[in-house]
Amino acid sequence: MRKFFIIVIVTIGIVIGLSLLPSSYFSPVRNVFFQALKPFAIFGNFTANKVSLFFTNLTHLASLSKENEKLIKENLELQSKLAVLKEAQNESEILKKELGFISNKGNLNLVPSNIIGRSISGFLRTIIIDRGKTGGLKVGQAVISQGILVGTIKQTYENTAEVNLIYNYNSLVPVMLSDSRGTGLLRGGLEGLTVEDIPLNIPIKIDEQVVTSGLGGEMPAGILVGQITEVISKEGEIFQKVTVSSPIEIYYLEFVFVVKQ
Amino acid sequence: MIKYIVKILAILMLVILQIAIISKIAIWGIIPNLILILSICLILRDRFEDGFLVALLGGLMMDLSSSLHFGLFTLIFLAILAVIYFYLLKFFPAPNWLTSLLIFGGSFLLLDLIISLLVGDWSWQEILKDIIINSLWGGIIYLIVQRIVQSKEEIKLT
Repeated sequence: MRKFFIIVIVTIGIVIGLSLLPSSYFSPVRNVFFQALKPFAIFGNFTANKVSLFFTNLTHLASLSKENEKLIKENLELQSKLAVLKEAQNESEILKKELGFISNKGNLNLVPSNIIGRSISGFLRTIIIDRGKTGGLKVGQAVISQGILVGTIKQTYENTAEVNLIYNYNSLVPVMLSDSRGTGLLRGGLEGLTVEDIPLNIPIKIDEQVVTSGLGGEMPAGILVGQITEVISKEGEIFQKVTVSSPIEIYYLEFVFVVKQ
Repeated sequence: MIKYIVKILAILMLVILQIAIISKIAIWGIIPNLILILSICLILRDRFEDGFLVALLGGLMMDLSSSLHFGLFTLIFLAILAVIYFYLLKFFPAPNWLTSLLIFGGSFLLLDLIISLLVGDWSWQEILKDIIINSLWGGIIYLIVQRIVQSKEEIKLT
C-alpha cells in the first residue's frame, strides 16, 4: 500500500508538470488518440443512434401525430414561400449580373466529416471531427448540419479537428438578423443561445431568422443559425439582446460539413 | 503483470465507450460520466488501487479529448477520490445505496462547480440536472458493482 501511495504522489507530480506545458505540445498525441477513436465512433453512431431513436420514438409516440399534422401544414406554407423566393432569387441574380456583383455562394466548398468524439462535460460543448489540416481545415471555419450553423473549428490537428459548438459559452459568432438587418454577436451558454450588442434603433421581430454576417475570419455570410424567440434586454441598456432557438439537436448529429470558402 | 495489463485494457475500453459511444444516450443533454462513477464505485467497495487506476488513466484520456487544460480532469478526479477515501469513508465505512447516491451527488457538485468556474459559465439548473442524472447512473452502476466486486472485508470473511 505504501509503495502504491508513492506511485500515486509521483504520478500526480508528473500530471501537474504536464499541465504546465502549452496545449500545442499534446497536438500529435491528441491526433493519434482521435484517429484511434474513429472506428469505434462510427460503429457507435451506427448502433447507438438506432437504439436511442427507438426509445425517443417510444416516448414521443403521443405527440408524433400532432407533430406530423403541424409539419404537413408547415410544409405547405414553405412550398408557397419557396415559389415566391425562387422568383425573387431569379430577379436578384439578374440584377446582380447587371450591377457586376460576383456571387461568392457558388464558391462554398463543403467538407463532409464524421463526429468521432464529444466533450464529456455538458459545460464544455465541443465535438471532435475526423478531418484536419490534411483536409484543408482552418481555425474559424464554419461547421454546419442541414445548412444550419453548428459551430466553428477551434483547433486543427493533422487528421482531426476540434469544433466549438455554438452552444459553448466561449463561442462568439458575428450574426445578422435577416429582416431587420441588425448585426450582433451570437453567444452560447448553459442558458441557451443569445444575440448580444444589437443596436437600439433596430426594430427586432420575433421569429425572424438569424444568419451569419460573414464579418471577420473564415465564416461566409448567410448561414442560418436559428430564429429569434424573445427580446431579453432591459430598459436603459445601450444594446438589445435576444434569445435564439436552433432547430438542430446537437446530440443526435452523426456527421457535419465544414464550410471552406 | 498480466492482471494490470487486463485492467488497463478494460479502462481503455471504458474510455472509448465514454467518448465515442455513451454520448449518444444523453438524457436532458447530460452525458453520464462513467469514468468518475466507476472510480467512485470502486473506492466505495474499498478498492482504492483499482479506483485510482480508473481515475488516473480515464482522467488522462479525457484530458486528451477535452478542450480544457491538460491534466485538469485527472487532478479533479483524484482530488474527489481522495476526499471520499480519506474523509467520507471514515464516517460511512460501508455505505448503503442511499449514502452512495449522496456521495455521487456531492462528487458531481464539486466537479461541476470547478468546471463552471474554469469555463466562466454558470447555471444552477444545468448543475442540478447533471447531479441528478449522474447520481442515478452512479446508483445503478454501484448496484451492479456491489454484486460483481467484493470488498476487501468480504474477501477476508470468505
